[in-house]
Amino acid sequence: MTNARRSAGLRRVSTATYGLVAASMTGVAVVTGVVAHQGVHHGTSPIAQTDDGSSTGTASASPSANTDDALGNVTPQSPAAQSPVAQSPAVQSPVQQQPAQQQPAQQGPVQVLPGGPTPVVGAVQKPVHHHAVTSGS
Amino acid sequence: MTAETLEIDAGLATRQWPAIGTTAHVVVRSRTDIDAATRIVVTELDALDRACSRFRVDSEIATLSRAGGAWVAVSGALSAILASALEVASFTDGDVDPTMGADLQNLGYDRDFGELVQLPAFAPLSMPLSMPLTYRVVRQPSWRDVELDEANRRVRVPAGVVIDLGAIAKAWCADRCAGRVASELGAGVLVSLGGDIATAGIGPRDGWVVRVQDKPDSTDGPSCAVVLHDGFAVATSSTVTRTWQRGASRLHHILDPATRLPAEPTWRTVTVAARSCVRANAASTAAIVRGRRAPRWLGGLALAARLVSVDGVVSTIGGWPTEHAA
Repeated sequence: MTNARRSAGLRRVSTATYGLVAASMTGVAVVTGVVAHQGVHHGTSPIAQTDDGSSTGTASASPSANTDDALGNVTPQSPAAQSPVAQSPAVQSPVQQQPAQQQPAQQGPVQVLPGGPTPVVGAVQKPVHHHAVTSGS
Repeated sequence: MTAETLEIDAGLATRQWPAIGTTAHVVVRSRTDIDAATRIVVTELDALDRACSRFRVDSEIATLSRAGGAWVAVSGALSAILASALEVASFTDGDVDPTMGADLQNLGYDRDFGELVQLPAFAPLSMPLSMPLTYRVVRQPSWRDVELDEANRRVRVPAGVVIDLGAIAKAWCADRCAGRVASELGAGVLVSLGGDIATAGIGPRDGWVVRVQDKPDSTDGPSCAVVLHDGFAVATSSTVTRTWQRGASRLHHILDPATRLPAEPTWRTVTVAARSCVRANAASTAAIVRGRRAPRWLGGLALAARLVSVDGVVSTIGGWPTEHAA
């Protein structure tokens, strides 16, 4: 039984979610008790980051401005562009860098197509034949 | 099933058709399997729609929402999907919560998306701070309040709660369809339901080629193509699809259970590959909700993911291949 309320026992869970409801909003119950983080990066990458991965930062010319790998080893695809997760190129990452023409490795669930059919920010290229498309739906 | 198309390419048989407000797409390695594979998927989609559609008055979750907090007998399909949804809610620490249906309705997403009209500006959500508000503290029901008795196939949800399984039902169905096609027909198969993709059996020699993009019908924005190995799944969540206008606000369909409003769009698109489509979809949806906290969370789960920020910067994590300029 993976859920607290499933099947046997049907134990009532005391954990509750509370929030402030804006009652005057034409019937739309809007909980305002929790405010989403809305940090905005300033400057260009690399961006100084705190260890919770959520802080704003200012630009630094030094790769050492990136304090750690707090963002889970994110690999920015466009180092010069602003990004919430932009990271210094000098930071070690377990994400394997693959040359564009490298044959696909047989490890991991996904791999880049040989010949690099794609992507990249700012580069528009016709896709090679594909079997399916995943997108927001 | 209407407007289906059948293509044979590189020894593969492909069929797609509109279904459940999106597109169903099946690819098998042998043309002789395509009809049987299609029948399996059609059957599963029909069961899914009868169980989970928020937009059918005769669906099981519609009945559940009208039950006023009483126990309701449910089908095996709904029981299984709810079990999966509750596991996802637990796995995501509640960031993907199936009890948000009423909130989606209140925000205007109260019918099949294709029929959604842009609502007038009677309740703009980006209200000026100066607007007077009256507050009261209430307890918001959550996934923890859903009681599922799998042994007896019955469910109870608090009165007023509307179950929405939109985040997980397609992924669950894709997994199920792919598994059934592979096991019953012995066929290598890819099943895509609105971009939630599951594979099973032995696929093409060079793997399944999957294009990743923001919107199903547009290659605008950063996109890439990757090879998905046999048995893996991939799903994408986006804040730029299924959007609608409400007053002065542009809304999207992924709600943050903490605010019960559309999640702050840190990411325009998040794509995750995993062993199951349910897991991939759960992670991609939760990543949208988690915003800046998503990379660390995904990294801890060792899931391969691709995140596109609102300004189009692509980041990858957990073994997702690096994309290179052409």
